[in-house]
Amino acid sequence: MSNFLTTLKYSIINSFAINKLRKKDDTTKFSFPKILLLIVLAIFVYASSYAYIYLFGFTFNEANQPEVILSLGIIASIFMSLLITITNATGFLFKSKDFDLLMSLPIKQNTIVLTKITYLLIINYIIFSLIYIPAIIIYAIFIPTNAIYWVFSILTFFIGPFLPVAVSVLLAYILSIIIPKFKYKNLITILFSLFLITFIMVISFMSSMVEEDPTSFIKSLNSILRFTGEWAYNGIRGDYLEFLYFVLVSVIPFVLFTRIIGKFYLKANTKFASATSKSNYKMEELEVKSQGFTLIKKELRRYFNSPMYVLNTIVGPLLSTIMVVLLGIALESTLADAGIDFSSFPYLGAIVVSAIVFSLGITSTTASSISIEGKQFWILKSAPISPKKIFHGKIFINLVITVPFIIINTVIAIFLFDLLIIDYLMIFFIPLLFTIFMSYLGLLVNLKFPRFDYENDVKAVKQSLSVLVTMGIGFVIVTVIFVLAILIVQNTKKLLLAYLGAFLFILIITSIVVTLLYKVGVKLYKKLVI
Amino acid sequence: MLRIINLSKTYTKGKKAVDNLSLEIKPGEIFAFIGHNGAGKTTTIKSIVGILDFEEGDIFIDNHSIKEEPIYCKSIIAYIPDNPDLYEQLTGIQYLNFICDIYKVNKDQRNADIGKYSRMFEIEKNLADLISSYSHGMKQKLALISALARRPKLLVLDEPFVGLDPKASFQVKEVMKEMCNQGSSIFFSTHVLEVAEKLCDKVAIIKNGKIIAFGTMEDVKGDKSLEDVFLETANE
Repeated sequence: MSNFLTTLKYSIINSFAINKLRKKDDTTKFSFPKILLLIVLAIFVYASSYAYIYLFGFTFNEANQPEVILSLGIIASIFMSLLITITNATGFLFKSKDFDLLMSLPIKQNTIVLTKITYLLIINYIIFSLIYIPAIIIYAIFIPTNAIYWVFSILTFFIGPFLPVAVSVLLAYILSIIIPKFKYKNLITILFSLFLITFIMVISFMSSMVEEDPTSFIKSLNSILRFTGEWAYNGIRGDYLEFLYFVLVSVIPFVLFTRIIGKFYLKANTKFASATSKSNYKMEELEVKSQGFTLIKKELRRYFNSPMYVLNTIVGPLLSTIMVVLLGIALESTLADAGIDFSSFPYLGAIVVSAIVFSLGITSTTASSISIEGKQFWILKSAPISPKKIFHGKIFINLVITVPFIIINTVIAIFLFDLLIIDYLMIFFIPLLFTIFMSYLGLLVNLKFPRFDYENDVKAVKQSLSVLVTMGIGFVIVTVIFVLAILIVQNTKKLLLAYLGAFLFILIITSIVVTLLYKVGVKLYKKLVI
Repeated sequence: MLRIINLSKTYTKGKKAVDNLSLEIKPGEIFAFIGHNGAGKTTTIKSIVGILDFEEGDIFIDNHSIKEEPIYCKSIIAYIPDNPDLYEQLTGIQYLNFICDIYKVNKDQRNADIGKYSRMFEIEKNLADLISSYSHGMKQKLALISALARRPKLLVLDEPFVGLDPKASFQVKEVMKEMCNQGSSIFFSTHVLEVAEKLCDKVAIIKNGKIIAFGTMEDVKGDKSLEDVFLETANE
C-alpha cells in the first residue's frame, strides 16, 4: 500500500474513531449493536434530509418551477461545504497535533497534504450526500431525466466539493502566513471567520424568500456562486460546454492550491508553531484575587484563546441577531403580501421572541466546557475549589457571550418594530432566562457525557455527544415552548398569557436543571477521571 | 552519521533559539545533548528530524542533507518527542503497523521486533487497547517500540526517560547500547545527568542556543562529575 493510502487509512480510523465500534471486552471484534445503532442513526438523518428536501421540491413543483430544487441542492451543498471546511481547515492543516509525527516519517510533504485534503474531501462528500444526492433524486421525481443527467449528476457529486475545499485550503494557508505576524492572532482569526460565517448565514437566510419568489432567490445566490452553481446546474441539464467550465473551475484551483500547500507545508507550519518569546518580564508585586474571579479569568482566556471554540459557540447568539434584523427587513413585506398590516399585527413580538429563543437553543459553550479541558482537567480537579464555583465560572462564559447579543437584539427590536412594552420586555427576559437554562443544561449534559481525549478543540465542540444531546434537548424544549404558547393563544386569545406561560415553563425547567446540576452534577463531577 | 554545520534558527521577531551550532556524531556513538529549559535542545532536535524549517546552516544525516533529501534522511531516523502525540483513537498494534507500513518493515522483522520489544516493555497485552487509554509511560513505550521496530541508523530521543518506570529505563539503556554496538547512533536530550555520564560517548552542553561545551565525555568533564561541569557552565 502506498504511503498516501496507509496514512489516509489510519487517519480515517483515528479521526472517525472507528475503533469505538469495537466490543469493549474483545477489542479485536466489532460490536454488532453499535454498528446497528450507527446505521439506524444514519438512516434517520438521511431520511430527514430527503423529507426536508422533498418538501422544498414539492413547493417548487406547486409553483411550476421544480427544476429549482436542483440548483438549490448544488448551491446549498457548496455553501455548507464551504462553511464547514473554512472553520476546520486551519486547525486541520496547520495546527494539527499529528504534524510532528507525520513530518518525522519518510513521507513527502505533498503526500501528507494530499492525505489531509482527501480527509477534508471525505467530510465534504458526506455533506454533499446529505444535501445534493437527495436534491438530484427529488429533481428526477418531478422532472423526467435521461442517462446523461445521471452521469453528469454523479460527476458533479465528485467534483462539487473541490472548489469549496480549494478555497478553504487557500484561506487557511493565507491565514497561516498572515496571522503569525499579528499580536492578537486569535482575535484576527475569530473576526475573519466571523465575517465569513455571517456572510454565509445571511446568504443562507435568503432561503426564507424561496416561497415568495424562487427565481429571484436562485438568481441572487447564483450571482455569488455563478462559477460553480449555475454552470453545474446547466451542465447537468445538458449544456456540455458549461459543464466543462464547471469542471475546469473546480479542478484547476484544487490541483493548484494543493500543490502550493504541499510545497510550503513545512514553512507554513513552522511559522504557525513559532512562538515569539520576549523574555523581558520583570517581577512586580502580584495582586491577590478571589477564587471566583480567577476562575472566570481562566475560563475567559481559555475561551477566547480557541478561535474554534468561539466560532462554533457564537453561531447561535449571532444567528439570533441576524434573525431579528432579517425579520425587521423581510417580515413587513411578507405580512403585506398576506394582507396583514405590519404595524397592527399582534404576534410580531412573539415571532421575534421565538426566533431568538430558537437560535439560542442551538449552542451553549457549557456543553463542551468540561471536555475541552482535555488533559489539563487535572488542574481544576486537584485544586481546592468547590465544583459549584467551577460550574459558575463555566456558566458565566456562556452568559458573557450571549447576554450582549440579547441586549443588542432588544435594542434592534426597539428601533425596527413598533411593539408594546411587554413585547420588548419579553424579547429581553424570555431569551435571558432561556440562556440561563441552556447554560446549566449544557454543563449537566457534558458532566454526563465527558470525553477528555479529543485531538483538537474542533472535535470537542463540534462532534461530541454532549453537544449533540444538548442541542437535541434544546430543540425539544424550544418546540414545547412554541406549542405551549400557540395553545394558550388559541384558547385564550391573549398573547400576554402565552408570554407568561412560556416564561413560567422556562422558569420551571431551569429550576429543575439548576437543582439537578447542584445535586447530580456535583456527584458526576466528583466521579470524573481523566 | 550526523553532522550539523552552523545551524541557526530564529523564531519570528524573537531571539535566536539556536545560534551557529555545529557538531558531529559518528556511527556507533551515543550522544547526550544537555542544557537548561529553553536552551534550544528541542529546536535543534526538531531541525535534525526535519519537522522544523531553519534558515541558516545545514544538517547531514549519513552524508545526506535533511533540507535536500528529507525523505531519505527520515527513512533512516527514528524520532521520539518528549511527549509523543500518537493517534489516540488507534489501538497500540494499529499504530505500530502504521509506522511499520510507512517504513516498509517486512513481515518477519515486524513480528519479531514488535513481539520482542512489547514483551520487554510489558505492554504486549495492551496492544489491542486504544492508545487513549494508555498512561504516559505506556505511550512512551509504544513510541519506543515503533522506533526500534524500524531499526534506524540514527535514533533521536527528546527526554526519553521521562515517564518510564525504572525497569523500562534500564531496558531502554540496554537497547541503546545494543543498537550502538550494531553501528547505529543515538542522539538524545536529557536532564538526567548521571545517565548521560554513564551511557554516552559524547556530550554537548547548550546554553542560550550556543554550544558551550562539546566533545567526548572524558574531554568535557575531566576529573569532575558531569553535574559539576554543567552547573559551572550554567552559572557562568
